[in-house]
Amino acid sequence: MSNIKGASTITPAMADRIVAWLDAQREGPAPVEPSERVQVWTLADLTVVFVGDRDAAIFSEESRG
Amino acid sequence: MAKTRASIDQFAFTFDAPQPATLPAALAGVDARIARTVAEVLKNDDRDRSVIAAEMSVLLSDEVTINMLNNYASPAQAQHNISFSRMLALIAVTNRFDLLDRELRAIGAAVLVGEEIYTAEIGQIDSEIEKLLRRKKDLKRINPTITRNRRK
Repeated sequence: MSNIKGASTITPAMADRIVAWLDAQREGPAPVEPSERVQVWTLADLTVVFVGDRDAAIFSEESRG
Repeated sequence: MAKTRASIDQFAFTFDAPQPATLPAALAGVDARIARTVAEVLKNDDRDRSVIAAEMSVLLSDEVTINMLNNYASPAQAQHNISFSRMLALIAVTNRFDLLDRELRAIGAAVLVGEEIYTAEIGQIDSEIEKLLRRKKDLKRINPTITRNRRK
């Protein structure tokens, strides 16, 4: 999580939303395991977060992911 | 991104030469057919549609949502046809080159993926060798002797 919050290409507000989304996945019916690979792709206008290959979310400055 | 997996129920490649679409209305209804192909791609991929949409977004650097995918997969949503770029991204992230091949055969083309192109090159080399051997045979029949610049 600290990596996301410290990433220069991700605004603090977006980092908060990504972390909140990951927290929500952790509490869901299929929680994110500590060993599960979370990948964050930062592109020109959006940030894409993958939880393994079973879940993903897209974040942009305008959307809620 | 996660590595794409080949679906086990892919269509087999065929060496039948596809015919170009030249007759009137040969491509009528292609929008609906493409929508059904999108649906087929999504249905046969065991990953969540959010993951497929996200992988497409990364490839395109442009947001693709689950709703968009659902619309693209609906033949009834004529105003939401998938763009060619997004179709390419969908094929790439799902590894369904067999379905791209099926669609392109409607206009007389077929798809080779990655190193499969070498198989076509082998055929090309064999064809060139055959032509050169024929030429060699013809020349042997003529068989002129080169007499220029001979010393006495």
